[in-house]
Amino acid sequence: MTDGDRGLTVDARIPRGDFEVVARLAVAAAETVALLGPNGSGKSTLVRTLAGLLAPRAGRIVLAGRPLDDPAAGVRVPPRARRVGVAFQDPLLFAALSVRDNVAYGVRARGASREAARGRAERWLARLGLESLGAKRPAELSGGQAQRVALARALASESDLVLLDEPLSAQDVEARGAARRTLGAALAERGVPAIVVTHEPVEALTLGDRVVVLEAGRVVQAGTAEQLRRRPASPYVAALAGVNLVRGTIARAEDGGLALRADGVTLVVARDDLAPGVAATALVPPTAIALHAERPDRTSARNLFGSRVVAVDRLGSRVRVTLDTAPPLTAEVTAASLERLALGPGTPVWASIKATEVEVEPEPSALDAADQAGRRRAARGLTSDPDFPGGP
Amino acid sequence: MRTPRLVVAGAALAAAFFALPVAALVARAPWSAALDVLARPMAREALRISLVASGAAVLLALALALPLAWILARTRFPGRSIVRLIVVLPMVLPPVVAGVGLLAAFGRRGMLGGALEALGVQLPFTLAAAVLAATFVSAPFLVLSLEAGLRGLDPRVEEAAATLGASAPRVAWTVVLPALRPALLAGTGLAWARALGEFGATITFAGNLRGRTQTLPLAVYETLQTDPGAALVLSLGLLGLSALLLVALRGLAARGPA
Repeated sequence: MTDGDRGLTVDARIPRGDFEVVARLAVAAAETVALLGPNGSGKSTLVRTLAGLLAPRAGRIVLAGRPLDDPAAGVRVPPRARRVGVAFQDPLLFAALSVRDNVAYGVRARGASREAARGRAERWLARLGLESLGAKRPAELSGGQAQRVALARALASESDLVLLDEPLSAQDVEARGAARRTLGAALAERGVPAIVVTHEPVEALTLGDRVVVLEAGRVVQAGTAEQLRRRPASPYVAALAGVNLVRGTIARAEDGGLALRADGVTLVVARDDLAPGVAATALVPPTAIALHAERPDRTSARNLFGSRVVAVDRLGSRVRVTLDTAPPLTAEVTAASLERLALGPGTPVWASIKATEVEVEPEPSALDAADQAGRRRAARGLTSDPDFPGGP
Repeated sequence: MRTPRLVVAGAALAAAFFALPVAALVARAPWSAALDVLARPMAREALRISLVASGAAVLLALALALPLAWILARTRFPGRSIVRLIVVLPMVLPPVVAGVGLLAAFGRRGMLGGALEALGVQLPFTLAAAVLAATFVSAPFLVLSLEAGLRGLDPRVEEAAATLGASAPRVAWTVVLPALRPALLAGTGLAWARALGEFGATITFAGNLRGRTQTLPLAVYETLQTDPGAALVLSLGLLGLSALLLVALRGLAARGPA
């Protein structure tokens, strides 16, 4: 850890009803860790503990060189003094205050003047594309807007750690990609350690510099998306890290649209705001790849190609079929369709992917790519989007 | 669906039943003598004592009701329902019984009488007794209203405020109180109206001493025996005061959180 003194280290045992959450992780300054795990794995318990709302039974939590919890030494910093900005799963906005004063609340509570706090609030509202909502009351907001206001409130406060619990769960599916880029850029701007709890592999892989997987109260794996893909430590990790990640260059597709051209595959994408020649990354969920024994006569999918099966892995009732493409794409099908298609290593197969299921994002520029993680995300966030205007 | 005629007739009868006494007060009052009556020292003193006693009672009731409502709404402990029962009992207790109870507890020969006397405090038949009597009967309205209000709040919102760096008093002032505002105004209105109209417990515990413990309702009762016309005028005054209070609190509630 290069920024050890501004980072977060957690080594704690937290009682949680019938079991114990054993949390061991470190987050560097300006690093974002995506915390993934099934329901009931202890993610929210960890969030509440870091926020100071639950007490660990043993261990140590240190943030920016300051011990927050250390039961053995009698240390327990209360929530208000921890300098941890939290956006909980529910917005939990202050109903009697305007949106602007909600966002200004944390700044004001830590001693800033009303004017300074409002100024900072305005800046963060604009950062998240909410500048027109400042005078409204929380009751007048949609669920998605309320969630973004709660994010602005957490980010605007002068905190040493940002904790976001399912930050985009209430966003429309169409707005999620843009919301993610905005959020990534905002986190980079804060430059403090951040933990983003999510169910969504795509969110984890795009927002997180690293992924930490929690199952039944234990950290089962921690690493980059690539590391998780290569050596999944559990079926859950295998299932969630199985998202196909294809890097390539934007080019004109045969049908006039845009496509992402990689070594061995070309994926038509449903976006028209990228310039040909731009380096980009596509994410393809394994469930979005349909397999066929014969070339299908009619399909609405704009991506169709023939390939060969390399490997078949069973994960309970689901089966992952890896194809002989470059890079290798993994499709997920049911055990029943595996039987029907009679697939095994070496079997020729046709694959189809709807362009709308391919999520593509421009790669950061070469300059920023060489820079640190935070700068990388900042570049991503600058992508223009009508719903989420760039920062101030 | 058409409303059945029988229901309409019943509702009209009920409305008339409630409206008639008020209308009669207005119709039968000797308006020409009204200013004269209200200017009498007895009326002015009763008004002053009523305002002071009911105002102090509401403030005291607020101070007692807030922590109690908090405990009832936010904590679980054995016997909580019994505590709630005891606290709201004054709502259904005949006021004169409340007065006798207050005497038995705080009277000179009451349970705490000796202790109070040792401290040089004598409660019965003082303005303080009138305040206590009004507090005893009006505070339950505030407790119930505030408990319901607190139950409607999500404690996680207060946790969120704490993570943003707010101290407990700041959370109470900026998050809890504004959210409790409707319950607070409704409860205060009910409690104040009840305190203003208090009669039985006051006359039993505080007596009916003109200029010291005689509130407007007591003055109305006393005047009625000798000068029914003046009693009508005083009653209208009390009615006007209650109405004013109601309108003022409604206005505050309608303005919404500041």
